[in-house]
Amino acid sequence: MDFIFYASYYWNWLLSQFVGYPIVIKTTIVLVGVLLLVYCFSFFRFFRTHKVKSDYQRTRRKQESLLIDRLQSILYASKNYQQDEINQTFKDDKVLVKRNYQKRVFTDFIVALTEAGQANHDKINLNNYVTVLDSFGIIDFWNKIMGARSPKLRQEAIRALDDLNVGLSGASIQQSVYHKKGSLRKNARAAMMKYNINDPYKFLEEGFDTGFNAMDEIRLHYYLSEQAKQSALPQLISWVDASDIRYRAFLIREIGFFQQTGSCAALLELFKTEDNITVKCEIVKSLGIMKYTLAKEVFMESYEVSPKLVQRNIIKSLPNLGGMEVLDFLITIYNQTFDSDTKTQLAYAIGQYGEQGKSRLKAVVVTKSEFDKTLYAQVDYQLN
Amino acid sequence: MEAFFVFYQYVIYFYATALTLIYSTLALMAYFNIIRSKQSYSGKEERILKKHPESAPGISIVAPAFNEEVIIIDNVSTLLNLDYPNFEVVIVNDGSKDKTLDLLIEHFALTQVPYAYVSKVPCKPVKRIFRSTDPQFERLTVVDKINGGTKSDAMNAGVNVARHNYFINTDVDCLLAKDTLTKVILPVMDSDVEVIAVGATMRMSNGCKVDNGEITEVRPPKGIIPAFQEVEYMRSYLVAKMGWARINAVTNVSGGFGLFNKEIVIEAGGFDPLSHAEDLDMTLRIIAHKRDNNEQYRIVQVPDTLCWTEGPPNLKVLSRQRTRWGRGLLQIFFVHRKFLFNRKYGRMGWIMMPYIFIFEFLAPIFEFFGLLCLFYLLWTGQVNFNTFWLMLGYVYLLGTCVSLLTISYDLTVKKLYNNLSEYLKLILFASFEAFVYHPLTIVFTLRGYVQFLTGRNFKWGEMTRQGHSKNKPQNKLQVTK
Repeated sequence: MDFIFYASYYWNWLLSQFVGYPIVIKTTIVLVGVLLLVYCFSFFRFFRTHKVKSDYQRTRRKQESLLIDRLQSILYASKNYQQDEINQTFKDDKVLVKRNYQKRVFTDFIVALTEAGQANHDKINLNNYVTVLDSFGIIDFWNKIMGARSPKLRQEAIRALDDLNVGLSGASIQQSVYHKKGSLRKNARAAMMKYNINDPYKFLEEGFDTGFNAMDEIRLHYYLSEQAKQSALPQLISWVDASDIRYRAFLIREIGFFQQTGSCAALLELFKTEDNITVKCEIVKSLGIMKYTLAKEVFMESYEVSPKLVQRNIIKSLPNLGGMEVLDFLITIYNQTFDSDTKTQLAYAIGQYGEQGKSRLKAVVVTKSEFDKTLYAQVDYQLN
Repeated sequence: MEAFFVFYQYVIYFYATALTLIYSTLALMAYFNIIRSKQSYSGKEERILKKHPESAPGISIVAPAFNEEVIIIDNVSTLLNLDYPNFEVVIVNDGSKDKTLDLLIEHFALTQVPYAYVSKVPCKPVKRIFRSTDPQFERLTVVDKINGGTKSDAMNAGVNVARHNYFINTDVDCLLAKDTLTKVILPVMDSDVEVIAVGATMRMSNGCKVDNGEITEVRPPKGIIPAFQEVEYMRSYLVAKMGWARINAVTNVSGGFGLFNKEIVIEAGGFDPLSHAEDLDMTLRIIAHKRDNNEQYRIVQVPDTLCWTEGPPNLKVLSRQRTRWGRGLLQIFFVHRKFLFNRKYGRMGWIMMPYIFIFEFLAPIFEFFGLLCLFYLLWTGQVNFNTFWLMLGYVYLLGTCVSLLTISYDLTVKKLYNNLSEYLKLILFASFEAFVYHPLTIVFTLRGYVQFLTGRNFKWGEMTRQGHSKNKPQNKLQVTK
């Protein structure tokens, strides 16, 4: 109350000093007042942010120094500890993981600890791991946050529970899969693949989401890889008829990555009818990765009439499909091409045929320019 | 005469008020942009990217080097130690006269390799290409070329040799954070519109502890000039660029650190070897290229500090740096004057270029003549001290408020310094910047304008390197693959 009284007193005093001055001066007084407020606010914000960050660092250091030895001995023990035993072990340390920010710090700490263990190929005792997390109330804490209204908090919870690799369920993610905030919605939809046991591929079937981008590709690839470790993936070819070109290209790439060779024939048929260059490029790459030899005839026949991007992918894929007719084809194309980038790709593709390929290339470049000769030397050196 | 002074005072007043409004808006936009960036990309996204190298886009780091024997080994080692699954390092030895190339050959076991060089963007002839015979340095390529006199020329040689679709334009004296590449590529991947360039926050390495080419402790610079420049850099990156990035209007992806889409740079003709501000020039040209072809684009700014550079340790080096920047800025308006107020170039023509012209190019001129006016009015006793202190406080508070906000934003992004006192040191420097450092930069920039207009024969401002590490260059390295 006193502060407001004094502030308004001095404010009025300041204004009285400039009575009769032009409007510009009066405006400046107001602006100076506003800037002073911003100045005070900035100082406050600075100290507050510093305190929050310092608290985090201090808590992390404290948790690490006091808990790391006991945690490691429990997490990597062969014996299964009971809840009571773990509670007893940490009974004096619960105060370190009591507040919300302390639970966040503990989550980061234990994730880092388990990742370090994985890097050292230490086998974690899952029973003890879950009991420790339960004992400190970590899973309950994050599950409570999953139900928060704030999309920021929900996203944080999905990430944390997935990092902890425990506690996330299809039901808890369900409420975020139609959220209006794109990044939360996409994260939740991708996570559904791992955590929804009823219909994990629901969103893959529905074209995933709008504005599909490379970040979504990474997320989906990550969850597909996790799923592939547990069980066989469904045939992704069944969703390749989606309307989003980028999404289709992604699915085709994944078919190649996960070696779904049963889809090769269908992909080759799609190559013949498809108009989109991006999709065609991905088909060529995937068939090359899967070494689908039946594709080489089609690729060689369509080379001349294909756009440059598709041509370059054909050059990269053909050596995987093997055969002397492919080497002859690559040599013929090398003789016909004038584009130095394509020539470089061709030279490396020919070089993949080993000594035979290199000797054929050497014979070709003898009559050609200095660039071709250097290119041969480059390929010969690098593939040796 | 009196009427002129009254008019000029009004010009200065409205100029300062416009700056207040612009910076307030930028500070607000920067805040939301920083928060959005922190929420969108956490350590989890970075870990996923590293765990799945097959999905990580390739990045070439291109760093020209000219007479850098003091720092070359440490800094190349830092680059090779970056934590990213798919990258290469291209060092362009731009005709160094010292032992730069010899040290590289010896330390990294380099050998000359046959290379079918294709000149996609113009530069002075490339003499040799070196690769390492030691598998732990397999990511390294060294290009030895004839000196072209500018960084642009050396960058073009690097772009010609770079294998990946994205490249980073940096200086060999810059130290990059270990997680630089993941941080800088995530926004590129997370965009529906093609991202043509990404910038990130840079700061001074002068106070940092460096061990085996890696920053082990971040501290504010000890010297006076680098400390002032630290505050200036933070304000420029965390408020101005982060703010402009919110509306896709970043005017300049810094030459010290910036990620570019290689195809776009090649299509735009590469870096201009005649430019004195090659970074600003390149940014404007790639934007113009996209606008000319009616294609959408985005330029992103990352709030994290990813690059540390050695700041000018004394006035002499600062003067050289700012004079060059001044020349470059003026040159931009000669070369790219067609962009200014040109509707065809959208926000570049109507927002970015006018902003640079009025608030960056004209600022030193207004401020210099403002000071002259002030001295004249003081001399002739025409100053009303009631309003003088008010106006001075107004302008001073504007600068200080923005600097203070910047430091608090920096803390929001990441707490890099250990102690509160180190941050308070920056605040102290921010408080004196307007009286000590800023007037000097005005004088140096104006000198650059004069040099450009009088057509003097410019020399590339060489930086006197002190080096970061106490380690001898011969030290062996641990390279993360």
